Amino acid sequence: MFQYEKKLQFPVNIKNPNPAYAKIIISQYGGPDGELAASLRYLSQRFTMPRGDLIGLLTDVGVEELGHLEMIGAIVYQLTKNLSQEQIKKQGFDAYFVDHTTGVYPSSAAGVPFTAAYLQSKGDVLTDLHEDMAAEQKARTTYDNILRLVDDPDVREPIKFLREREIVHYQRFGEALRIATDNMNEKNFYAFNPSFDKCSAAKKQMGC
Amino acid sequence: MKNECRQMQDNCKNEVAKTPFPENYALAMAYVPYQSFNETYDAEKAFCQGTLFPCLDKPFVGC
Repeated sequence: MFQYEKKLQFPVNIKNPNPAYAKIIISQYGGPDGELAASLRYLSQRFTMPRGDLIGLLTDVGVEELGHLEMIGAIVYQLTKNLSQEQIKKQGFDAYFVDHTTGVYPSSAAGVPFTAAYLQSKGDVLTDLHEDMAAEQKARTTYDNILRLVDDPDVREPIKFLREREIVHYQRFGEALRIATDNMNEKNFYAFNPSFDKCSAAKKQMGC
Repeated sequence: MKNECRQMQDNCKNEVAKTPFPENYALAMAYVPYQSFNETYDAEKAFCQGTLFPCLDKPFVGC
């Protein structure tokens, strides 16, 4: 279960609305490498991790990603507050506005609605951890690109914070992979799947 | 059955890596060096940077 803290992980206080920025940043809400996909990925994959420490790591990171989803939602919301019809049209926000007004809807910058097809839960510790490391890099690149496109420091600061968290998470998932492989036989990491195959074999492979 | 399996695996000796890379590494596997605990930022700086560790603090400088 979760406990909710009524504050953001990093403060978001945007003085100047800018629907053009909102249009691109929404991609980290419901886009292919966004925070919703990240949190669902880790919080789904965690169940079949073969060790308690790996389950714990995926839970921790998955919950933090929910906090990041909340930050991105706050950024998009504040960027679209008190808009005039003129601003909506001029800054290209009309295509989003017609379907969602200024509601925060999980979609990519190109308007594609969120889909679970953005993520995988493969039930194999090595496969899932490799996906997680790739996911952190893809999110980091997306934040790099947002930083290329956004000048306002009120927006850049929380985005820089989120980008740095991707790098830290990449390191943690790398260490998770190390924990997994250190407890497997390096002669053949792919001999079987410790998340699925029989207990006795898995037990031996995990170093017991 | 499943809980039993997890229980047994949790009881495995929890090997803590002492070196950045493993002694016996294999082809067809990815390795990220293990982080060792050393220098840290003070709390306020860590909060702003998004990490406690200078060695993980890698800002974007492109434009």
